[in-house]
Amino acid sequence: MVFSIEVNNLSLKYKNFEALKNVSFNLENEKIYGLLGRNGAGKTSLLSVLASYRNPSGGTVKIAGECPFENPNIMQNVSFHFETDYHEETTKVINMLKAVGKYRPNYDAEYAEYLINLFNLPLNKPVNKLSKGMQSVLEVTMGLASRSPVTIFDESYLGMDAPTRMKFYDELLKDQERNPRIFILSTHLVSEMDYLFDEVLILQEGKLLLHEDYESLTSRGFSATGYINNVDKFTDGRKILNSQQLGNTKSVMIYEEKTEDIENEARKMGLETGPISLQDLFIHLTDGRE
Amino acid sequence: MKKNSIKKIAADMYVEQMKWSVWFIGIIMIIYLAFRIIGRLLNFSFTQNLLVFSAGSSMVYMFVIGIIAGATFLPQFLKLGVTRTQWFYGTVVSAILKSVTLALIFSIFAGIEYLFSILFNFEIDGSILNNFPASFLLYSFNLFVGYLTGWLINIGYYKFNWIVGFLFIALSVAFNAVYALIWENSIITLYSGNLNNFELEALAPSGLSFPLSVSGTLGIMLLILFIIRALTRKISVKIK
Repeated sequence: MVFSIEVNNLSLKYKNFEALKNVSFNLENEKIYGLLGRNGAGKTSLLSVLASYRNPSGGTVKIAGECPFENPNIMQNVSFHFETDYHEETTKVINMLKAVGKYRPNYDAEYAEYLINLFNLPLNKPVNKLSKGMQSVLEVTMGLASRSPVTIFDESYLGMDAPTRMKFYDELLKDQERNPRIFILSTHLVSEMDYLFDEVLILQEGKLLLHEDYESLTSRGFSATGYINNVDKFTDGRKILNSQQLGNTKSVMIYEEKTEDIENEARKMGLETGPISLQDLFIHLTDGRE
Repeated sequence: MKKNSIKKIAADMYVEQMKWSVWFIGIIMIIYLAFRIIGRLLNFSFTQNLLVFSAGSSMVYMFVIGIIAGATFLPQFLKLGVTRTQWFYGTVVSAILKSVTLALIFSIFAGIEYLFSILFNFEIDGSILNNFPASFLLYSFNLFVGYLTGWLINIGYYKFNWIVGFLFIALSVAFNAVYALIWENSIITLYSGNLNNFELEALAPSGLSFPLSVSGTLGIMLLILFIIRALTRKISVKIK
């Protein structure tokens, strides 16, 4: 059973501040969804409604066709992991994981053990004595091993160092292949994580700016690389999102769909074309807009 | 499924907080024994039994763990996919169990002490065995009311700002005052075993009979629980 998510005209208000405004989208398949947005765009607000940490002020949320708020059948199947303040948590890592095993119906203890070894997680240390990085590792270990049909990670990997993050991304993809579910990953590390996403949602000032699959989103633009003069000539009159130069070589990101004609034109000028990066697109789409 | 979760939550909270209680019981016992030994050495009269001695501190202890546990466990349980409703009922059940367990533990120690007082012939206030059921009930009530009033304060602070939090302290003090008014000195009188069951009617100087005092106490408990439930039914849980 797929725990599809339907969000309709969702709004969330904190006193006088409207954190979410009429957000609507459907997540129907067991895919990895990237949730992007600048600081204060409403990412955590949206995720906390999906995880029933908050009751929406307006609109509806349905998970597996039911309202998730205070619904035990849904809530036990939705895991929400965020950068948690553990400085007062004296429980040992092992007991923390045992508690997860007790309450999460799909928890896989064997897989948890595999992750513990993979990440060298010290089992007998109190959680507040772990380094920030290890606390993040514990967070994602609980999230992955819960195998919840809806698993949400809200920046929970920020404390990890780069090699550990790579291990986590790798593991996420492997486990998604074995046990497909809806993953929602919210992040600022766009360029590092873009390859994980099947679909991307971008929030902008509490509104949903777009929801598209990764491929069609990145086909909104393209990159062109080659001799500086040729690149400049080629880009004349075109919208450039980003450009980099090394000696006589220049690489630019262009916001325009790459048609066959454009590709031919570039080839004639000796330029190499490629896909645009999600990061550049994200910056362009969310920068300086009202 | 739902009932099972409440049982699980109640059991987990009970075990966690009884771990803290082991410390509390140990400390009370040490202080109590110290009083007894010093009383013997310095020859002053110290005849309070353990139930009387521990009554006040046990209530304060439950009040404090009520404050600590109030909303602290809620984010943890929510993270495990538990609903607010399940957490609420789990907390209530575990608080009742804790109240009864502590009352039972101190009663057992007081009983042993009473036997010792006969065997080794030392003086101790009355016999709690005279009116044990009423003493036990009242002792448990004390602890449960202590826990609930602590819990109420924490929820007030968690849900609102610190100014409103102060109002919840006032509310909690008011509930405790009404509770004390219902029972007045009867708490100490009962524990010290100066009355037997047949005299319970005359217990409450507030003029209330024993059954009426019990009903009043249950009323206070239900009112506090109602307020806590109303405040937490849809409470937003902070992300931190």
